Amino acid sequence: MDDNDDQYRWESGYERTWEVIQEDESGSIRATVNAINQKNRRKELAQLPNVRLGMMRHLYVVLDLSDAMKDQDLRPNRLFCSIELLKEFIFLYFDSNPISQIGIIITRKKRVEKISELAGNPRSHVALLEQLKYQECEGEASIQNALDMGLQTLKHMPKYSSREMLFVLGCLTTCDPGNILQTIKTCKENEIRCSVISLSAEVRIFRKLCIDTKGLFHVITDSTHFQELLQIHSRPLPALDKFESSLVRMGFPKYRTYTTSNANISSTTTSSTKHEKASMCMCHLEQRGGTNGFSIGGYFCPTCESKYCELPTECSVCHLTLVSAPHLARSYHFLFPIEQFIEASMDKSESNKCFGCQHIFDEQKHKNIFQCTNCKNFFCFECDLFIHGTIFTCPGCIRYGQLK
Amino acid sequence: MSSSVKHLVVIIDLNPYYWSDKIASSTTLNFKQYLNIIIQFCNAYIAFDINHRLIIIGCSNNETHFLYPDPTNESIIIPTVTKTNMFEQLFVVDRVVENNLKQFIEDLSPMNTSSGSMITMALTQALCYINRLIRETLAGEKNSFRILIIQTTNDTSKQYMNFMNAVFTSEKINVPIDGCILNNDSSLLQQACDLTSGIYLRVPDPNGLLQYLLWLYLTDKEVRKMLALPTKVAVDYRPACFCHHKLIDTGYVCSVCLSIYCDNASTCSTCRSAFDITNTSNGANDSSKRQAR
Ligand SMILES: [Zn+2]
Ligand SMILES: [Zn+2]
Ligand SMILES: [Zn+2]
Ligand SMILES: [Zn+2]
Repeated sequence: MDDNDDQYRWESGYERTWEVIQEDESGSIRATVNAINQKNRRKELAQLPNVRLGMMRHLYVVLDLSDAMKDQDLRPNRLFCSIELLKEFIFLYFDSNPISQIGIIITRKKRVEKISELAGNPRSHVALLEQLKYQECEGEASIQNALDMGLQTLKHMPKYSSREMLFVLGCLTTCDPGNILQTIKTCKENEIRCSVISLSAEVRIFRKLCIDTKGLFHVITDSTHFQELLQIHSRPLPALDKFESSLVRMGFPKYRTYTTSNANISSTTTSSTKHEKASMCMCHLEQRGGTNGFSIGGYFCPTCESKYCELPTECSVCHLTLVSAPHLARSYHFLFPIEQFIEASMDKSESNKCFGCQHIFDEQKHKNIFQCTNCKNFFCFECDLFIHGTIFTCPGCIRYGQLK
Repeated sequence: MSSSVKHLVVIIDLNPYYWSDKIASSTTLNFKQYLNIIIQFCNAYIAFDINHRLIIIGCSNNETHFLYPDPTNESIIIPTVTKTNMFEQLFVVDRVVENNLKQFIEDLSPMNTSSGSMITMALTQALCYINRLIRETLAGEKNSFRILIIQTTNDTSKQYMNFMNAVFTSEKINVPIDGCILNNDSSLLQQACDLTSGIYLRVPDPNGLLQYLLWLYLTDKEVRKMLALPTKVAVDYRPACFCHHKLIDTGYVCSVCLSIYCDNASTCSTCRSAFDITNTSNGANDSSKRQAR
């Protein structure tokens, strides 16, 4: 189901897909299945884009709440399943795009409704999504109205950030007040990328929307596939050609706290902050009621001294984006990806064990071993995956970084 | 009864740099005492609970070595000297570590003794090792993992990205990192402990090292709830700018690669994007746009 693949499965040639799988002596197909899985995983990792990425993203998720979402082809039904997966998606999204923003729109009864404004706090979005579970799915969806609502906000977003909309749709129709083609054109002009994940089938107008705005169009096969598609959307997309770059001013507030004097081992801790008073933080100030947010410690905006209890956020007084260094560091691995290891044969290796996990190579278990082209160390398959998929740092190459 | 095995990875900084200027002053800890203390701590850890498992990684200025467990060396050592009334496993640990340490120190190259150590390399290897142990975990077993870094040298700022990548991984697979430093405060280690909810301590008096180790680092998360721990110092998460390496409160971030600069620049030195000067937001410009929405 590739996006630029115009040929449908039934139009393409006849494939003998089962011939790839071969039994070993004992009749087990486990080894081949494993090998295929391994190859796929490596391919997937190799495909991670190594081009300029849109690291600052503004994304609206449009969730269908029409009649079609009551369908039970996903368990327990389409709405519940989508909400559960979207919750996961939101955390993944902020993990890969730490200083980006997300907003949620729903559509039903030919209308649209904004559930949350573009904001950077995953927890509040997830809480709002959770509440949607108990809402009635009814009527028809309106894609045009949703596009219009997204456009209104997104077109004011700065040029250096990527503007995106992601539709999760169960419907096969859209009920629009005007010409949707006109709206799609406006989206294109404003460089808003629209992607659609359809839960039922391909609809021409959805596909056209994605192609015209350079988004991705997918139809899910099952809930696992749905999850995989959302993972793709959580990673930053390659930047468009006309992408502008800019320097953005940001603040890096320091956490200040009131120190009590019990069990103080390190006598070096100073007591200069002892007379600090408890105060309200700006983020909880707007949600009146409750004692949440009334505390002693907090992050203070470096220019105007307003207090916040969580980062990243935008200072509501002086509009400075407030982040901490690890937030930025979390996405550096996208910019400095490590090269793929090459497959090597066992006898070529001088060392008899994996440089990462110290597992001793043996003929039976380690059919393939992998070599880093940079530091020439050998790794087992699992470490290769772990290094390229999770750590993003080759243990052997660290030495070269240090001695340089 | 479900047995949950607790693994502890101890990363020991063996860089000779720190000890070279300690030789003269006899009042403070020397290298031999330092090693003894760590071995004692490791013994205590093993003796503490039958479900405790230990991994020791040593690192110098340009090398790392898994000191224990070492399957190739272990078989050579047969605890024949049981006369000494020693717990068998401790005997094995002592001998294996001793052998490996000796070899490791002999192999140390006196060349380019830079002040930094390969802590980051040891940490990534430890994570690979833990990842393997997690993979080998049988269904139904609930094992826990922890990393303790005993550092004597200063941070090397060049390692920031690699180190943070390792810390984020640790956070993801739920492995707390404890840090114990004998030298000046380490901001990297502090951040690592804070992000993974481990304990950070700068040992005020190296002579009391064993006390501190036994008191704080022998126990895991569950027991720590009941202990009086050092008060958490607010961690300084301010970044250093890429251009001058100085800590900043406010700075300019490249919208493409998120590099941090302390002042306006016309091009980004990391990703080479040219900035549109007219568009370069100085905050005020940006905020007026936002208010318009
Ligand atoms: Zn402010
Ligand atoms: Zn390995
Ligand atoms: Zn390498
Ligand atoms: Zn840049």
